[in-house]
Amino acid sequence: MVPNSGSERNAGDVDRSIVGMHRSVRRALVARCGLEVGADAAADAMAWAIAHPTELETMANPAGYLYRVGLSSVRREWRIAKRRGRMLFEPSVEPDVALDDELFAALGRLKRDERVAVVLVHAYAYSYREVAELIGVSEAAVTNHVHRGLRRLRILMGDRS
Amino acid sequence: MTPSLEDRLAAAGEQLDALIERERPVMLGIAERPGRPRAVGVLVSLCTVVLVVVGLMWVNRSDDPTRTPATDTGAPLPTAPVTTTPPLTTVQTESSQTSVPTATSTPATPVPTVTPTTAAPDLVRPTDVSGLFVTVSADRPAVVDLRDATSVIGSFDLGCPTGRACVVASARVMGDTIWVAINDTDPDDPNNDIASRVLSVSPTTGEIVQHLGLRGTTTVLAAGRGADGVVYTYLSDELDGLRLVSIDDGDISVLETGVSGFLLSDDGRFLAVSLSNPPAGERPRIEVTDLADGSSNAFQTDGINAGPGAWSPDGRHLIVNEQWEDGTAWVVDPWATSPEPSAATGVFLDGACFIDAGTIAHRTWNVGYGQGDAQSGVIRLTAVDDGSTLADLGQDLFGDSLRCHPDGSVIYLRRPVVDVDLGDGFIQPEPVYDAPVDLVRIAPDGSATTLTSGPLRMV
Repeated sequence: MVPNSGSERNAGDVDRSIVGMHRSVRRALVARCGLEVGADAAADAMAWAIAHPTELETMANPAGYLYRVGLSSVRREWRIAKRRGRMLFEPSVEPDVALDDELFAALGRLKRDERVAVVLVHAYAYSYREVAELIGVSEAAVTNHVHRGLRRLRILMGDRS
Repeated sequence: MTPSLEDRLAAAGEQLDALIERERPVMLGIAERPGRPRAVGVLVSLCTVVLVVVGLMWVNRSDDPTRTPATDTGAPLPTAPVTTTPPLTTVQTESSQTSVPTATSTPATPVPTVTPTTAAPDLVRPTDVSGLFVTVSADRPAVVDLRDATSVIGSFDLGCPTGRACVVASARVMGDTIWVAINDTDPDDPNNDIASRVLSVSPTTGEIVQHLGLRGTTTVLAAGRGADGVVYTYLSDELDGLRLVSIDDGDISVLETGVSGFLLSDDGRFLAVSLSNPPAGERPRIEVTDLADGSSNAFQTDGINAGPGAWSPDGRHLIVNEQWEDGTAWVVDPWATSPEPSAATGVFLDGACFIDAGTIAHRTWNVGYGQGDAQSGVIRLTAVDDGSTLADLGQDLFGDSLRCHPDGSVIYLRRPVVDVDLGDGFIQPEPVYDAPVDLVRIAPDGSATTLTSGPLRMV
């Protein structure tokens, strides 16, 4: 697979439909903040989107804006989750979903931007451009995050993969 | 066959989607909770905003006697006499804590202005470069030792609360004051509650003043007073990222967010701030300001994470550190219309300093990125104007930080290197990072003198 080609999806801008933006923002926030906090943050971001359709329509990068809205809403919940000592990706107890616990434990140890870039590019086949637009950094920064994140992942996982 | 990391990541996307696409919030390993209705979410968000605004009004009211965001005007803390040897006095810990307004609640105000000036600033800028610097020893983590090129000229105990682990993040000698950023944590606290302080120390009187005390998730990285009288402080927060704030007459303001580097010149006149993670469509840049006359400039950098490394004593040049994988650095004229890396000096390794306005001292030793092998080298003196090599000091050197002294000497921390057998007979020299280091002075004639040894850091 060529991870940055967006081969499994159409390369280009982030899908600007509400559903598409919700999916992208939620994936990015979950990658950054973990399942619990990230999903809640995405819900808050979409609540804002539904309440502000006009503003959203005029934005050049609505998905990027919603990502930041989600990040703003995440602060308090993240503090609480951190104080409770929760991991970003807790070992799975869901009977019907087999999580790669070792991989998610390692992902949890990456820097936040590295984790978001690695997950979006390699787990969801987003292009570097899409990730850059979504999280509001340059493509060069995404390239570096992916490069460094993958290298750190390999170290953390003992090169077993 | 073991799947590749890429395959496992691709599968991870499906696993995550399978969980987060469900109708209910999913908390792995944690009991499920009811989903929060969206309307309630919006209501909670609105209430949060109102509470934040009310809280800020409360914090910022001017007649609150309990408010202590900055204690510039307060009575100084108990002081320590200038001593070259212990005993050292202990400063009482801060009496109160405060928080920094978040970027979302207080819009970041670009102060000082960064509008590029068209007129060339006054370049006659004599500065008082003392050559003094500060070291900290791991066995006395809250004591800063003020040094000149040959000896300790004062030690100051900043105080470390019982049961807390203190770390001095930086200590800059600026004029007649040492500006210290120090943080402490409880090693047994799972919440990693951080207490951070900005202190100024007067080496002549021993007076120690606390300018900022925070409690929570914020770490202070560096601080100093600018020529405009404002105390600039560089902060890192898990949630709010890297920010530059000002403390002016007791008021704390967020000046910049997304700050990757901050540097005041030794005399506090020149300020450099790098913004390496700007919004999409903007390039990473460095903003410079002459705090004495208000002139300013901003220029783009190619290095994605580049930040200011050292001001020349006259403020004409700035060393920019790549702050990335290769550890490179270069020189710019930050006041030029379009500052470009100096072609004369080219690219060298970071951690460099100015011996004088026209001479850079930089290391040639290195650790190959991602390789871990120690490559010894020299301290090279390079002319800023034409990039010529003026001298190579020492030989077969390896170490950490560099400090330049106006007398032409360079002080560095010599770190031991040992040969490590990586297997199959392959031997690689590697630095020993947990071993004591030597503080070594290289005189202008190249002779080396070990000043002291121990678990030292230059801060």
